[in-house]
Amino acid sequence: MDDLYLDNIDEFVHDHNKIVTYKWLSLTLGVHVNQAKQMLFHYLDQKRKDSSGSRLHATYLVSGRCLENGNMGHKVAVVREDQLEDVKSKMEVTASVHVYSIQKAVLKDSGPLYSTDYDAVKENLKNCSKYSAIRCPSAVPMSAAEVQRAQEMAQPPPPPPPPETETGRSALNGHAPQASKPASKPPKGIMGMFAVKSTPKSQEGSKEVKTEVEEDTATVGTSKSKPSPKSNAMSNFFGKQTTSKTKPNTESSDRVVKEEAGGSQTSFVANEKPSATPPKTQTDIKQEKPKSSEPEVKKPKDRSSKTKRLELSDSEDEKSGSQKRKRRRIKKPQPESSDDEAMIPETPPPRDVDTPTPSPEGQVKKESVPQAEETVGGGGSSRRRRRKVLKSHTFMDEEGCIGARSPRPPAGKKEEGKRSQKKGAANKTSKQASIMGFFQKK
Amino acid sequence: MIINKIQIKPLNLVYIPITERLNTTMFSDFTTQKEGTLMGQPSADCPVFDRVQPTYSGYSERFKLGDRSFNRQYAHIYAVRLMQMRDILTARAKQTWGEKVPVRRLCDLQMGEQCCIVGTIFKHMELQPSILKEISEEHNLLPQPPRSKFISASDELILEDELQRIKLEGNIDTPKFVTGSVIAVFGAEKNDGKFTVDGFCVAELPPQAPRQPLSSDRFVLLASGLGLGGSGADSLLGLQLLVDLVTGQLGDLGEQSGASRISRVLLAGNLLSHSTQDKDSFNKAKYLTKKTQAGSVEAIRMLDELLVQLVASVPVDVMPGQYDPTNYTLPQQPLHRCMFPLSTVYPTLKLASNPYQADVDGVRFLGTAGQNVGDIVKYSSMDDHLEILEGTLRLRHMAPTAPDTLGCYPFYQKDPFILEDCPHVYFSGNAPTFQSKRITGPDGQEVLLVAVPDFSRTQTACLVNLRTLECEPIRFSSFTAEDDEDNEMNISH
Amino acid sequence: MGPKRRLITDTFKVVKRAKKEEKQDKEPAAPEKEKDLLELQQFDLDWRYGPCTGISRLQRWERAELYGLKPPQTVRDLLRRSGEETDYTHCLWHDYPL
Repeated sequence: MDDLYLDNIDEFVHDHNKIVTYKWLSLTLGVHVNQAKQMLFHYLDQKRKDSSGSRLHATYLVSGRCLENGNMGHKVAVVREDQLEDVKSKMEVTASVHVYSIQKAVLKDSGPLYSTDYDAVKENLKNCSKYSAIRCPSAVPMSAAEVQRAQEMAQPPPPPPPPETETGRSALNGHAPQASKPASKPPKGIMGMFAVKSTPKSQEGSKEVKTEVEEDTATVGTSKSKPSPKSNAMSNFFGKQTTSKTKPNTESSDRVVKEEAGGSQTSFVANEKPSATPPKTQTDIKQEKPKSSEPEVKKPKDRSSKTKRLELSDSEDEKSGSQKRKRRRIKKPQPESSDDEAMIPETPPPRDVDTPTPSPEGQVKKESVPQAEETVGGGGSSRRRRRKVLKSHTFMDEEGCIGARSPRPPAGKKEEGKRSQKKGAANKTSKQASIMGFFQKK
Repeated sequence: MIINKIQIKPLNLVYIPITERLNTTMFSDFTTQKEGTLMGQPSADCPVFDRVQPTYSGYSERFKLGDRSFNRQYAHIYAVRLMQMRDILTARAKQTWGEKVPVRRLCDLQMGEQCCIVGTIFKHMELQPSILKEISEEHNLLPQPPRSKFISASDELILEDELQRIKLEGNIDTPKFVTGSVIAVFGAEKNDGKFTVDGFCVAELPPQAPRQPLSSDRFVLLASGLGLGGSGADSLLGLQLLVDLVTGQLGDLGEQSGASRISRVLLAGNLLSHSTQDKDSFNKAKYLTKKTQAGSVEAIRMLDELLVQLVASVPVDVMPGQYDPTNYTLPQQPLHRCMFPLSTVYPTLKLASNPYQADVDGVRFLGTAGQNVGDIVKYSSMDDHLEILEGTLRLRHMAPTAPDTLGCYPFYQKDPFILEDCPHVYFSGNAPTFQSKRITGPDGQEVLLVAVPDFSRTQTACLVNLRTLECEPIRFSSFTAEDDEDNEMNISH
Repeated sequence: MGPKRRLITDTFKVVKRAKKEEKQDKEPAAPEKEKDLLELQQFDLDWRYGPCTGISRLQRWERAELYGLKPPQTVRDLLRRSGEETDYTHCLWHDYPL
């Protein structure tokens, strides 16, 4: 046998800083467990001879007959190297001694030994006794048909068996089409509860988030272009609270009623990341102001070039500046109450989430939508939005200082008329945000 | 011994026959190494041992519930119990006090006549929790401190037959008895209407089918109280060591060959921890617990992962226990297969009922996850699980306190907890410590009693040798930071 | 008066006869059922066969048979003969909830 494994182990222990247990090694290298034990010993032995192994720490497995609590019985113990002789001496008969693990650090307790094996075992649950020293002829996974038969005999409800092998899988497709799903998609219902989470502990957090994101995209299917840079924020958001899915909907409905409030939010976002403005927000706006949709359509044509966008930004310098200030102001109170912290991620999601609902309407106005998409960057629509932003921000600020903040009331009378409404809307959104923050914390 | 040639190709394995040593009994006798150690250079040949294949047949049918009708009262179960036991006890009484002893019903009782009566014990206990007492405002009861035992000096024994009841006094150890036991007492009724007991007898062990002698030593591993979903990673390592031992991963060749003699694993209940039964969902507002997942979901997933490792290598019987997700009342029905998507494809997984009864290699196993014994601990002076286990065997009733203080299905036709034939191994799970004992019945029945310890607390399982009916504990230990402190303490002193 | 009386008595008699005839039509069944039910109720009330509520009479009979209590064969015949009527199949108190 070549000694390549010595290098392997060396790499695992030193470079990857892993706790290398015999079982992990066996599963990783695909060798018999006993060979893995010998490899570990050989490696340790050699390193010790080189005197370079002084930094290595090993744990051993000792088993044998032992008197405990007045009962003569069998004892299996994992011990550190320094305890080895002590434990061995207490055994009446020693049955086995072998290296259990090698690692760089001294293990205070044996908890990490379990978690190390756990991931490896999890990945190999389907053939976990492949490298063991005991073979059980009767323990052969049943085919789907057999499972079904057995279940019919035992219990009426047929639980979908997980796909075992490729053949099993194909058979499954024939028999229980739902059963094949768990492999690719998180299944629903009771099975889902148990099957979805069959991911290693360490990766659990991230993976869960991922799957949830997938679900989201599925549910939000109508939204064509999703800003990739935001996906993280999104996933975080959804990872924390899936209930928000429903709430923004109600929010959006609010917005339909009180258009300005919604418009303000979307435009606010658009200002933040003008390049990534999702087209749906524009549809949103059209929905909000159907009368002004025509001028909007014209403007984007004008400003399709960057320079024009710059112009636009120039022309609206004050606005954006004021917005920034406003934004700052919004952020200021956040540290005061912990609930407000939750608001930070709060603001983006509603825009993304409420997109699917207006999108059908956007489709109705087919002309405007593609145009808007072309001019994604700084279209006239965005200007519209900005105007609204200002409005919105005026009312956002109203809580603090309205009069001073609202530099220009372009829509004038109407706005003022609706101001009270806006107030209400603003209050509503803020309230909602705080409630959501509450959920987020849970 | 079934010997198969198995060669897992990439490893170039060699089959090593297991030497038969008929005089040895302990598990460690099979595990002591005879061949090369693993503390050496890797060898190209790795032996693979064949798992012994026992014959197995389950007899848990009487614990399966067919139609689940709950519109009956528990009077039936007591009536049936007495019907089933009366003849047995009458015979036993005649055996004890002579063929001529008059066996009377309570209605035929003559004052002062020395006679024998057969009936069901009812123990009147002041401290027995009662919902009526709790809700009665007249009593103005202060909240009682939680108790571990509900016996007191004022407890009284009352014997009931089909029609009447009579207080018992005299030569009978009140605290040891529990409600629901059917016994025969010998004595006489006194003027005060009480029955003065001279002696009593119980049904004793039921008849036992002979065991076929086994030619080789095989083991059944009993474990209970895995307590998944609880706390403590080191207890998980212990559990993993148990799995690795059984599945032939850890240990030297000898150990592995010994482990291949474990023909079956029996998990006797409480696979999940008590802490998975959080009652948050009951006493918290819905909107607060809407998103919280029941603790048992994660725990069951862990159990499935654990089981799949086991069932890929050994037949496993899984009994539910007090904290497991099935019905609460005895007999507990098997856990549902859909909870084990990974392990359910193996024919070696057997989801069993609690109580459990099966023949493994001709050895009759009967036992529970321990609720019956735990309940008797609460309502009698006995604490020792093994003593209680023996008591129930001699009463011929596994769960006398059902349905009084132990949840139980309202049977009417038959009391399934009455032992009709004597098991060879009679066990109960979730005991505080490992205990085992061999007892011999009056008719020469030989029974191994095993109190299977709670694994999560003791890290101990037990191995029953099917050939010799001996039992030994098998303990798994890992090291913790506390060990260090202990050692340092020792050094410093 | 004379003819009137006659008439009255005649009609009275006729009516009476008619009533009696009607009763006679029903009565052959009624006493038998009553007798049967009485016997079943006697069976219900026999404490030796255990509680009778919550289970059917047949179940109770079979249980008694199982434990060698020798329940009357006539009861079983009766239960077999009679139909699905709860008067027959279930015990005296089956109408009362638990």
